[in-house]
Amino acid sequence: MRTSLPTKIALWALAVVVSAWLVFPSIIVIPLSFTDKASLVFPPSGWSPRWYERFFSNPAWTMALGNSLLIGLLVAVLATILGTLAAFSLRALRNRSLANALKLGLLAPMIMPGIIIAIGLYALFLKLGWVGTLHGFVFAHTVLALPFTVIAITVGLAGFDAQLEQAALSLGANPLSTFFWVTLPNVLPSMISGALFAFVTSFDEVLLSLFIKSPYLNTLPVLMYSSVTRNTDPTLAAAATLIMVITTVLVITGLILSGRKKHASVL
Amino acid sequence: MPASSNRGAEIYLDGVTKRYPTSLALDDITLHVRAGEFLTLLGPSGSGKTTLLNLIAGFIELTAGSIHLDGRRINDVPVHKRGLGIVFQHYALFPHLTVSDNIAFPLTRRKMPKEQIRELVNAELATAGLSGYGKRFPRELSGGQQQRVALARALVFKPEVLLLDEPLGALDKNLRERLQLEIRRIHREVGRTFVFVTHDQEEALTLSDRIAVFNEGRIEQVGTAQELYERPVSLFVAEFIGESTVVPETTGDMAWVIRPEKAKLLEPHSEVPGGCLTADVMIQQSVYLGSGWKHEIVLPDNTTGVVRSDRIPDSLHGVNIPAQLTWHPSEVTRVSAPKRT
Repeated sequence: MRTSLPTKIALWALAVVVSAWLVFPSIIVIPLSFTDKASLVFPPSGWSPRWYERFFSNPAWTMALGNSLLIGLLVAVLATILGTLAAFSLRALRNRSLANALKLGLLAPMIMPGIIIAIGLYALFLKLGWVGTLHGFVFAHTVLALPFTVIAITVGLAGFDAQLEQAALSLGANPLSTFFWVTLPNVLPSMISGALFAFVTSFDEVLLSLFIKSPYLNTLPVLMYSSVTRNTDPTLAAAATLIMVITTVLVITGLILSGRKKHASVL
Repeated sequence: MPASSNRGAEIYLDGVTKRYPTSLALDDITLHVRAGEFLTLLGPSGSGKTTLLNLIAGFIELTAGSIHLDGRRINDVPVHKRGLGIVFQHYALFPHLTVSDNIAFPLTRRKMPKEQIRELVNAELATAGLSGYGKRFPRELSGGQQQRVALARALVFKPEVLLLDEPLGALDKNLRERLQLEIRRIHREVGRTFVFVTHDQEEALTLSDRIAVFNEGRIEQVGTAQELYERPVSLFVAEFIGESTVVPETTGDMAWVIRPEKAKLLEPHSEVPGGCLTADVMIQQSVYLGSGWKHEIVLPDNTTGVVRSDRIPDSLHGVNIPAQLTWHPSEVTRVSAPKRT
């Protein structure tokens, strides 16, 4: 069916409005971060990179950025290892209803309201003395990131032809070499995409982090949140822009990787 | 690991049974696959032929019975130590490896020197008519080319037995026929034991030294194509392989299986040659095929049959003509056939 020209124009206009509505609040921090004024007034009257200079010359901001990157990296590694083990075990389980129940349990942190996890973890961490510790942050963020790696790797495995493993065995590869030479290379793109999502989940996490932070260990989103309640200088916009650029690049990379995996499995 | 002798191994299956929680996939199979022969497991889907292949390969475990390879019991030998070559219906080429690396895979696992691997891979590529395709990836090849690579990969390490699981099932008719001849030639050249699974009776007749006909988890008959065609032991075999007319005896549970060229059509009430048996039939239609006529007939019990002849009396030409079907008992077989309901 051909769409008439007026309908086409109307649909395009609607699409543009909705896109703008979705993206505009995020995009607006970019010009704000380059303002020459000391307040978050939009539109800016002049341009200056001074808020980026201030961001990178203030040890509080750079420490928080460093913490976020370090925690994100550790979470990505941990969640990917655990997610891989979980996805492979779920595939190997003969009892499918048990496998589905376990999968639901693994995905629970995605459905559970964040505030409930936050309060639960806070109570637990107080008892363990993990509040404000690096391993505390990594543990807490991994809980939130694990569903993403489990999903990504499960999808990757679903597109993986198990007969390739039979072929490898028949050609003389033992089960361990079959895993490393045949299974892993074919699931790697989904593992990487899972790792990227895990990193991003940790990198922009605020809610849990607010509960378990300490004056000595802060992440970037937490510092932004506490600085916005004190003063609103555009350093905040510079930090927000940095987070946005990093997460956007990683998420797009992740999507491309998982998309390519699906495409390859079709062929 | 099997030595690269120039003959295939023999396989003894003794009382092989595979039971699943809700079904009996294979029921007490005893079969001897001779060294170097081309044996086809033929049967409809769900008859157990693929299950048997998977048991020989080691992908699934036996419920009962034993499998011997050249006198060595292999029931508990894991797949990667059985040293059998396997060709899958959907090729199962490694998508992340090039064609050359796919063929080199079994040699690399056997820690063969690189130089030797390169020589063997190139030789296999040349045999498969794929020289120059070594650096491509499997997805860049056609289905037929991919299956040639899979064959090369399964043969490069000189296994004594090659198991083929409906390897031509995913290909179109022309290509299938070309590859049938190619597989036949490879079998002659390498002299290994081939066990081939298919549900296509024509393919089985074209390729095999012997055929094992499967039905509901059991082997109905094992024999050469000629034996199965001329002396089927059961109605199932008779109907699965080739065309035939089945005429039930008036008393008892036996029936005559009459191949199309072993029957004659006569005018009703005409004289029957000595020693021949007859049945009243109706000729539905006759088709001229150049080499002769093909007549589709209906029996009184409403089953249909086929008769081939050089020529028939003019009075029998037409549609729905009554006639006499005659045959000589020595030229046809009698099988057990419980009355149909």
